[in-house]
Amino acid sequence: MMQNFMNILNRSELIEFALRDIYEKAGFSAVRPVKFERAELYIDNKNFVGSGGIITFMDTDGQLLSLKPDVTLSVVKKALSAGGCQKLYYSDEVCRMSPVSRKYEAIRQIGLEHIGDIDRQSTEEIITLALKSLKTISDDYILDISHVGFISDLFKGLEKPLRDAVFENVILKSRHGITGVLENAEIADSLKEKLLILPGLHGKFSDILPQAEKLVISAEMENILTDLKALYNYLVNAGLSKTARLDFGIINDLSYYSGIIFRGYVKELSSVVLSGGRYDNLVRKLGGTGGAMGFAVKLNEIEERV
Amino acid sequence: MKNNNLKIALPKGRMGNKVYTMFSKIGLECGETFNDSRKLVFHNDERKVSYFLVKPSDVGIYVERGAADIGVIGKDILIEQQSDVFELLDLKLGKCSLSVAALKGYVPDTSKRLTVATKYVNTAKNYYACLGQEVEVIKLGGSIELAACLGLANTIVDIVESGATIRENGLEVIAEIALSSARLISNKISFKFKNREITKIVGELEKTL
Repeated sequence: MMQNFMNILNRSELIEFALRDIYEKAGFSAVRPVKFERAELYIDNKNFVGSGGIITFMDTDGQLLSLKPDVTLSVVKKALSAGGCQKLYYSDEVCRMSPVSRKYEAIRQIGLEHIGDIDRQSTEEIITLALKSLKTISDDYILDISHVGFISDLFKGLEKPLRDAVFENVILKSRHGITGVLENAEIADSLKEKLLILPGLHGKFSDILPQAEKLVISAEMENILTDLKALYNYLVNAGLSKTARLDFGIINDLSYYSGIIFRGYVKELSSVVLSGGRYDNLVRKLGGTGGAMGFAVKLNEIEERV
Repeated sequence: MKNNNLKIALPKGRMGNKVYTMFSKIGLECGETFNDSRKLVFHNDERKVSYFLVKPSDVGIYVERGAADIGVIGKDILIEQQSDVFELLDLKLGKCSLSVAALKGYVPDTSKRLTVATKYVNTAKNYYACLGQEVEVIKLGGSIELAACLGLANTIVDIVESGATIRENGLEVIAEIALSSARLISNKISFKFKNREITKIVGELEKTL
């Protein structure tokens, strides 16, 4: 006796079901992450989980468990032990520290992971699904795309303190900050000029790709640009390019991420609602060999504000 | 207030007045008496901007949470609060330095834990953590120099403009942590959806510097 429950669902529940429908239709199958995960998984991968503590407790057998601060690690670990190529999605709650209140909060998340060989087609599929997810939440949305490898080549010759200071200012989009940091730095003027371009490298693909071209100093950077151009062409042909942007100010930990990374925003919400990327290095850390790519959507704020 | 106006948070007080003068120079005046008023909100619906006057230390929160699209805040406060915002321009106003000071001739006693008095608790903790020094940080609301004079703390971390207050109280600067001045900051999401408006203001303000 199935009834129509639509009228009792709130906005974020409706969105959750709409997203599940989209992911199912794209061939992703539901996975139910474990409720409690071993704490060491997050302690060993602190930089992937991000800042803030983990809620831990001791199980009846003395094992230290935790309330998950992240779902990806748990899902990837499980998928690797099962082996093979897997396309999975989940809907779950994570517990992490709110950067604003500095207290723990439970965040409702829905996300997907493609674990196995990631080729151009699977990358395009995931970017498309990210755009579709955003569109489901709001008509006013933007997906910012970056690539972890592109600007890291520019930093190779820099000493760590200088590299960190430049990185920090690229994230802040602070040209004056980089100017200050580079003032007394002993590096080639040509490299300084390139680094000064970085905070402004965000906007439409068609505007930013030619600027990024000027930064290329290695074959690796050239390859990355070729890939980004191909992705852009795909988005143009699929009619999805209007809301996709490039932003090289999105930087993630290289020890986990390995390729394209992205962030989604909707106009009604004041923080990032979707984030994801390619994280082959995480797979390697967990003892796997293939690739992995995915994203997660935060559902909490949607309920309150959209 | 028109809902699609660009919302600008300015620090109430002298700094806010100076910044407002800069915004008026680029044609974003609001035609109402900005000073000497109890009003906290001002509009220019033609140029689609609204100003809010907020406590200087609250600007970061208003912008980070998107209640304001952009705002002006001292770098000292930005460092202390670590607000998750974009820092788009140095307005070169209210220049000062975040410094460590102590009584003239102070010699650190390495056998004891150091006591530091400050308004900038996080900044002080981070600074001494980088030096590998264990400290007890005492949070004070003002007249920080007094803490060193009365022996409440060994050192203080505070902003220093001319250095006159420090000298008059028998203290001296022993280290500089960072230079500060007023910065134009933007909410990260507003910067995406109102990019054209914000970039235009940044460009025009930069020309007046």
